Amino acid sequence: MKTLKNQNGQVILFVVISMVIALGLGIAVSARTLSSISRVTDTDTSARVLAAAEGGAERMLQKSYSELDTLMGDPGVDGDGACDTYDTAVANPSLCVFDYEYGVAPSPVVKFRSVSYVKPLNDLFYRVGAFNQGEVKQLDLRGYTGTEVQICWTGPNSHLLYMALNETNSNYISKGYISTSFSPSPAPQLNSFTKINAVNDTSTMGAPYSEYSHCANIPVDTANMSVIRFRPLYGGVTKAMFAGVGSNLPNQGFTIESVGELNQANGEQIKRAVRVTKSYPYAAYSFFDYAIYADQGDVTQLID
Amino acid sequence: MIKIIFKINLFCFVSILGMFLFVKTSRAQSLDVYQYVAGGHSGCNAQGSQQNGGTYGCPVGAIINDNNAQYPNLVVKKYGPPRFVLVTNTNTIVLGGGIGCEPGDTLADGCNVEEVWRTNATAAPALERPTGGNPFALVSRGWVNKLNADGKQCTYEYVLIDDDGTTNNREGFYLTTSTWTMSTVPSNITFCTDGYNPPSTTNTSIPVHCSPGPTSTMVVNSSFEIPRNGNLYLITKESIGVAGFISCVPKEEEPVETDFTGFLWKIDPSNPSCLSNATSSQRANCKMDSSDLTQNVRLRFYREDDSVNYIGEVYYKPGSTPPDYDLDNLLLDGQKVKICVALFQMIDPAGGDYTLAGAQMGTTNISVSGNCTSYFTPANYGGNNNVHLSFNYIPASYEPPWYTTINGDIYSGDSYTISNNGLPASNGTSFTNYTINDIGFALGDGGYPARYAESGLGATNFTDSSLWPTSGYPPTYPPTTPTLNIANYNLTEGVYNVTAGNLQTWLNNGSSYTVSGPNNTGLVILNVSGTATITVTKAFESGNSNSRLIIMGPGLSFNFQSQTASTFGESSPTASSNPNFDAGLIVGGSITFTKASTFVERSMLYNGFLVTNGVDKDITFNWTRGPSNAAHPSTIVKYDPGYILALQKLELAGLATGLTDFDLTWEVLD
Repeated sequence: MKTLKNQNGQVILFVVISMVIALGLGIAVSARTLSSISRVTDTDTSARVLAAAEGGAERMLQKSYSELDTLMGDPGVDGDGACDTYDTAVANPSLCVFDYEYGVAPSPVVKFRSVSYVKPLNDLFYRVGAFNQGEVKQLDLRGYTGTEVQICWTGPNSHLLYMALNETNSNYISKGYISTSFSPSPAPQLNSFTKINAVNDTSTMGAPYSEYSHCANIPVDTANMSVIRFRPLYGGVTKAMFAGVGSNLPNQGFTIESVGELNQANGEQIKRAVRVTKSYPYAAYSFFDYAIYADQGDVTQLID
Repeated sequence: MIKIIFKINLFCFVSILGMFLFVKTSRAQSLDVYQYVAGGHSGCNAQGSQQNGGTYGCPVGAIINDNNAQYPNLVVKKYGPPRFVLVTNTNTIVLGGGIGCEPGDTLADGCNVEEVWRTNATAAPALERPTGGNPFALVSRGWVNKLNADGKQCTYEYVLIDDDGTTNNREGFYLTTSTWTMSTVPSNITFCTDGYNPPSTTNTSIPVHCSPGPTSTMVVNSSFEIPRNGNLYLITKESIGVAGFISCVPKEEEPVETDFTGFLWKIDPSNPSCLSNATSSQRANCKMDSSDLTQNVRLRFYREDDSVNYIGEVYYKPGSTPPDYDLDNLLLDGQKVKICVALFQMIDPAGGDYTLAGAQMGTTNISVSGNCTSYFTPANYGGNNNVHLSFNYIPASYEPPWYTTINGDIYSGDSYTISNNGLPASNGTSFTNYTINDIGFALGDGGYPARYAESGLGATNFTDSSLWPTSGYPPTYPPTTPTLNIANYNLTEGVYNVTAGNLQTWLNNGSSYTVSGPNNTGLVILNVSGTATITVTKAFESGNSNSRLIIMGPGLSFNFQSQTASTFGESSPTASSNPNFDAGLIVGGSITFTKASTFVERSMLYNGFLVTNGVDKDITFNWTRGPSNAAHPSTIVKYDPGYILALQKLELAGLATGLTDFDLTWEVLD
């Protein structure tokens, strides 16, 4: 008869423990990898959704002003334009929705979607980018009821000239000169003309004014001015912002918001959105503001 | 009766014979010479002799030989009747004859100190006679008979008579080196042809017609004839006791009918054929015509002895066939003649004037002074004299022209300059004397006029062209852009392609344009291809207040030119006057406003804007109004801001202009 040896089982215990540890380690490593994979997947998907949103915005930007105007409808009324809100846009997919497919069949094809809708550009603050010598920024004043408009800008060596036009009043012109702390040499001469001194320390004005180095209020001589145009004198302007004074600025163009969407299999929906503003067009070159403009020539009168 | 006639004839014969004998006799008399020799002379110290009451000075024929320059300040004073002084190049002075006055005689005595002559040993005084160069020169200025109020009388010791104008026969009297007596009176002397009836007495002074006149100086070399100019001379005898002295006066000849013809021609430095030294055939091609003058030119002819009253008058008739002036039957009596131009008749369209530059009679040049020629001897008495007069054109000197804008800014970039030197000192009519009327900015690099703006700003060291032309200029349009139908002036809003040549044709053939369309932008943009200077000589206006035109051509220059024969421009412009040209120009060349061949009193009123791009592509205002320059700006550029708004409308309507921009912001929403 075989005799059993009384052994304590230490070996197996060791093995089991080792396996548990190994398993734990394996599980930990695996979890980290799975988490990383999940995050990469999320980021890539988000980028693709954002790209879909941008694509929708680009698609809207390709439309003409009149088309955008039609899609927007009445700026003050929601729902009267085909794409004036998200909901109306979804309801008019042929005009406002665009689908993107990712992947090539028979591989799985993932469908992204962009929903784009058009709103008026009538924010409280209307921001524009840089403009240098030879360039003009134009603010539309049609419908504006205020008697002043405000411009804030950054440009350490810049003074500003402006010209306001009234289309309905025989093309009435109002002109002005805004001076800053910058002292050009020689200083400009003024004849029977009053300059506007800009605020050169905007820190106490709070946001968003304090984001700019100079601010000034510009009188709008008559109501119903059509446009006001600004051009830099001396140094250029790196950024600028317009605001109404006592009244909101009128519509300056179009705001296009485009939402990129992906509906995942688990029912989760990923969304990203972009917001693009496009102003109304305007005569871009500063020579339109001159009666006589010789880019590289004399303006002269010969003695006869 | 017959006896009476015989007696008269006999009397005349005896008188003439007596006179002849007197001349003969008197010539043989010794002649007293009164002289004064400063510093004295051993041979004839005139002053000493005079003081001694004896003979008076050196006798006739005395030779004061100063060969050795013993008397460097030798002065010979002549008293009374003239003396001849023979001067040689060795400073030998020979005194000629002449009597009648003594030292101390005055003008009341019919005498006077006439001249003081010197040798040239010292610095030449005004009356010094030639002492060098002429080997044998005789000088005489013996006009002493001051009592003859008409000033025509003269005296000669030696009188040349009956000169037929030639030198062949050497008629009359001559001076020789060896003989100092009066020559024999030639037998062909004609007495008293002017109706003179010699008196019966033999001591009556008889005038002798002579020439040259009292103001002339005769310089006679040996064997040379005294110049006579073809005059006829009469001589009679002088009074008894006057030897070697005959008074004479210019002959009052019978006037002859002389004709003058010719033309006026202008000296034109720009025309090689019309220079001051033009040949006869050349200057015939430079004749004035009706385009040079608006009125006839009056020529007046004056005789030398009467410079106040003209003896003939003729009008130069522009455009007539030669001869362009023709004056017949001008009565001359041997006098020289001059031609004067009454310039008050010579107002040309340009407001300038002509000044007499020269005259030519055949190949003979006649000098001019002021508005007159000098006196000249007609080449052909009794016949036709062809005298052409040349003129220099003197442009009018008016106030310079000036330009202004209405509410329009001006820019001259990249070190170039804004100038407006013709701005008047005071306001013009309807416009202030500022480069910019109303409100505006004068900006640029190189400076601006002092009177830059009625209200506004002027700044230098400023460049406003950083964007130009690198960004989108000229814009490109799709091939589908329509081509301008140059027969159409009622345009549909939008952008059209057109060649420079067709643009010129379109502007030439039209006078106005209108722009219409569903978007009511009122704007047409012409995208012009090719290189050319577009010349505008007539109005081209917008047909209504809502029609505008932008002409954009990188190869274009523009020249707006005033026209004398049209109504291009405004005679009395105001800010609200109808424009003469409505457009916005954006060109790569120059823009010039020029005058026609002459000024036109109209201003160019331009509505829109002017833009040039390129090195030295100036905008030049040379349009001039001439006399009314100070009253009105010659060129007015009325800024039209409507183009800015129209461009926006056109772009909003979906019609790409290439000249607009928009602002874009992009934001990712979280």
